[in-house]
Amino acid sequence: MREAQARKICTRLLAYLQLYPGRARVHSVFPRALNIEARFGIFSVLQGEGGLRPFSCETGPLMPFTELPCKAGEELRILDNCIEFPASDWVLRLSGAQAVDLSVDAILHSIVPVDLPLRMRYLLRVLTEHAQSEDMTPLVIAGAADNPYTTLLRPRIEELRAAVDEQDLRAAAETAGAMSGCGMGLTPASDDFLCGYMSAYAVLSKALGRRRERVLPLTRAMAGEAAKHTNDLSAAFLLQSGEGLMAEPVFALLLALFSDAPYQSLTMHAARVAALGASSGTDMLSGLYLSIRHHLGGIEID
Amino acid sequence: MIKHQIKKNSYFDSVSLMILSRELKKLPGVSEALVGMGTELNLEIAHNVGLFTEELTGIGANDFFVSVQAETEAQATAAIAEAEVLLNKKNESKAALYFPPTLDKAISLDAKLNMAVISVPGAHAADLAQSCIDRNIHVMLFSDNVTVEEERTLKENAAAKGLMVMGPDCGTAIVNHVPLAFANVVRAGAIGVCAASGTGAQEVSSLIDQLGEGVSQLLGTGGRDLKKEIGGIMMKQALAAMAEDEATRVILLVSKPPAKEIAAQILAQAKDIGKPCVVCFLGGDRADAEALGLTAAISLEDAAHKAVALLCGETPADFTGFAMGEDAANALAAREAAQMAQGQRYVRGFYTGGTLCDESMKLLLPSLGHIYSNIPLQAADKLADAKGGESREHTFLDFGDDEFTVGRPHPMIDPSLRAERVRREANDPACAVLLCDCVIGYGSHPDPAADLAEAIAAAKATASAAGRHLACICAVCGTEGDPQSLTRTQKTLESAGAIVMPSNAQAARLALLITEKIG
Repeated sequence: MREAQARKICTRLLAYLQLYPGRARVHSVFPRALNIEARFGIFSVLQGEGGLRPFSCETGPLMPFTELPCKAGEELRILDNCIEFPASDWVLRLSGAQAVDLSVDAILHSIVPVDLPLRMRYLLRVLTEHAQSEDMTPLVIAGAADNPYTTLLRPRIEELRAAVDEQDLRAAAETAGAMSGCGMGLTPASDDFLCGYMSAYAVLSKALGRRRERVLPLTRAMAGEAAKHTNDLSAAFLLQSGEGLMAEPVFALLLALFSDAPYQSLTMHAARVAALGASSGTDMLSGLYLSIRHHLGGIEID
Repeated sequence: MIKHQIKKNSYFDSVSLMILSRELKKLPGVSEALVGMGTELNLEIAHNVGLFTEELTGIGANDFFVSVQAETEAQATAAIAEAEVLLNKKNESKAALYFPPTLDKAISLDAKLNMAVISVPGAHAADLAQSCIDRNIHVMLFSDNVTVEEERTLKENAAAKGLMVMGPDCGTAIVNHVPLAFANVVRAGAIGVCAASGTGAQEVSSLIDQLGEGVSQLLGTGGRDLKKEIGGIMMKQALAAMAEDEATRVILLVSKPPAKEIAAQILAQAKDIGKPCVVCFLGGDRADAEALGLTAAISLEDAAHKAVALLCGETPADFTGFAMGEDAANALAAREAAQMAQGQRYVRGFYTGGTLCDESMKLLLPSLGHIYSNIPLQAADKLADAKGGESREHTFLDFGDDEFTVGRPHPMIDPSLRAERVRREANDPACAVLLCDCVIGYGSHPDPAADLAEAIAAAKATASAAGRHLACICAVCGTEGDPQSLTRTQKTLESAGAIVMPSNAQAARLALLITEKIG
C-alpha cells in the first residue's frame, strides 16, 4: 500500500476527523488538491507551496493526485490517525502532522496601527501589480475598467457595506447571497472576494475590540446565504470563512497588517496571497482591502 | 452564432479555466466567450453579454459550461472543439508526470539513479541534498535560501566523495546531453562549460551551438561558489570532471570575477589540466588568466567564439564587433538616432536573465558613466524602488532579482511584469533605447516573445503618437532546437518592430552606438 504523510493539518479539521470517523468519499481530484466529502462537510488534502487552508491537511511533494487511481465518488475510510483509500491502495498518515490553528481566535494580540493608511497603500500596490483581466480588482483600484463581473457586483458592494455597518444580519446575508457565484474560476471570483471580506472583517473587529459574539453571527449568516448560490466546493470555503477560518497566507497577512510588523513583511505576505490560484488571490485581497476600508470605524485611509 | 459545452458535475482548476477563457477569445471569428460554473450570477452574466440561450436553462452551480459567440456556425463549433482540446491537453501533460514521494522510493524504482534535481523550499533543501550525498547521488540544487554554512558543508561532503553539488540556486546544467532545468537544446560536442551563472551558461552554450559546435557537459556551481566563503569547491570539482572527460577537448569557465585568492587557485588548476581553456570572468582582469597561458574573454559571446576557435585549432581573437559588420551597424544606429526627438537620450535595459543584465552593464558602464539598477555595478547607482518607481537616466533592471519575484514566478517563466514595464517606459520622453533579452529553451515560457513583442509594438506606438521614436533592441538567448525555436522567436520580435541582434553583447553595443549618434 502506498503511503503519504501529512506535514500540517488544520486543527479544526483534526477535531472533526476525530469526531466523525468512518466512511467518506472523494469529491473532486486536481493535481495538487484532493477534495473529500465527509459527514461534516468537504475537506482537502493539498500538496505544494500555497499554504494550508481551513479544513485541509498538507503533504510534501507527491505524485499528482490525478495520477492516483482514485476518482471522484470513490469511497474511503477516516480512521484514528489516517485516511485510507482502499480502491487506490493508498493511505494518508495524519499522526505527527503539525496542527495549525487558522481561526481568528488564534490571534492573541492585534492592534490598529497608527500607520494603517500607509500599510493599506502597500496592499493596494501589490493588488495593482497582480491584477488580472477578469478579477475583482476594478472594485478597488480607482480608474480600472470594469469587467462583466464587477459591473454586475459594483452596486451590491455598497449594500453590503451598509448592512454590515448596521449589523443587519438579514440584509448582509441577502446581499452576500446576491453576490456569490459570480466569476470564472472553480471558486467564482465573488466567492473569493467574500471570503477575503469576511476574514478581514473578523480580524479588524478583533483589533477594534468588537465583541466576537456580535461578529461571528454576522459572517456566519453571510456565508450561509452565499453558500446557497455557488458550487459545493466554493460553498465549503465560504462557510469556513464565515466561521472565522482563513487560509494560512491570509492569516499571516492580516496578522502582519494589524500589528507593528515591518512593511517589507507586509508586502511579502500580500504578494503570497495575491499569488494564490489563478485569480483567487487578487479576488480575496480585493475583498480584504475593501472590508477594512469600509469598516474601520471612521478612520480615513484614502 | 452561439454554442455551448456543458459538463455536469465537473470541476476544472481555476488556472485551466483562465487559460481556456483567454485562448478562446483569440480564436478566429470568436467575438465573446464565457467559461465558468453554472451559478445564477454567471448565467446572469451570460445574459448580460448576450450568450444566454435555452440550452443553459437548467444547469446548476456544480455544472461547468463554456459558451462562445462566433461569426459563423463553423467557427463556433471549432471554438467548442478547441475548448475540449485545451481541457484535455492539460490533463495529458499532467499524465506524463510522476513524482515519487520520497528519495528512497525514487531509488527503489531504479537503483542506478545517480543524479537528483532538488527544488524544495530552502529550509528543507540542505537536508535533502545531504541525503542524496549520503546515497552517492550527484545534486543539482535548484532551491535557493540555503545558508552559506550549509552550502560549504554540503560541498565539502560531496567533494570528499567525488560528487557534484551544483547550486544552491543553480538553474542551468547539461549533463550527458540531458538539459536540466533552464537549459537549451544544444548539440553534443567537445566544449565543456563550468559556470557559476545560469543565463551566462545559457548564452555561451547557445552561441556555441549557433557557431556550429557543441557542448560535452555544462556544469553549474551556483553563484556563490567562487566567493571566499565557499572557496570554489565545486568549480574545482567541475574542472576535475572536465579534465577526466574524454569528450571534453576545450574548457570554458564562466563566472563573475571570483575572490582574488580563489581565482588564483582556479586558474592554476585550469592551467594544470593541459586542455585549452577560455576564462570568462565577466568584468574581471584578463591579465591573470593570460599570464598563465589561458585565453581570457571579454564577453559571453567572445568566450563562445574563442572556445570554438580553440577547438578548431585557430588563434582566438577578441570579438568586439557586429556580425552584420561595422558599417552596417553604424548605418543602422545612425538611422535610429536620426528619428529621435529632442530630449531622448537614455537607454533602458530590462532583463529576465541576471547575468545578461550584468554583462550589458559591464559593457556599457565605461561609456555611460552611471547605470542605475537594482543590481548596480557601483553602489551609488542603486535604484531606489526599482519595481514600483520610475527609471532614472540610464536604467537597467534584472527582473529575476528577489524584489520582482516574491510571490510570483521567475520572469523567464512569466515575463509579464517586464512587458508591463516596457509599455510604461514609452511614456518617458527621455527614453531613447529599450534593450531586452529573450531567453528561450526548456523551463522558459512557451512563447516569451509573444508578450514582449506586443509590449514593444505598444511602446513604439505610444512613443510615435507623442512624436518620438523608440529604438527597441532585443537579443534572443537560445537555439534552433529549443521548443520555442530561435528563428521563430526572432521573427516574432522583428515583426513588432524590434531590432534583433545575434547576442546580448552585440545588442548592448548597438544601444551604445545609437546613444553616441544621438550625441
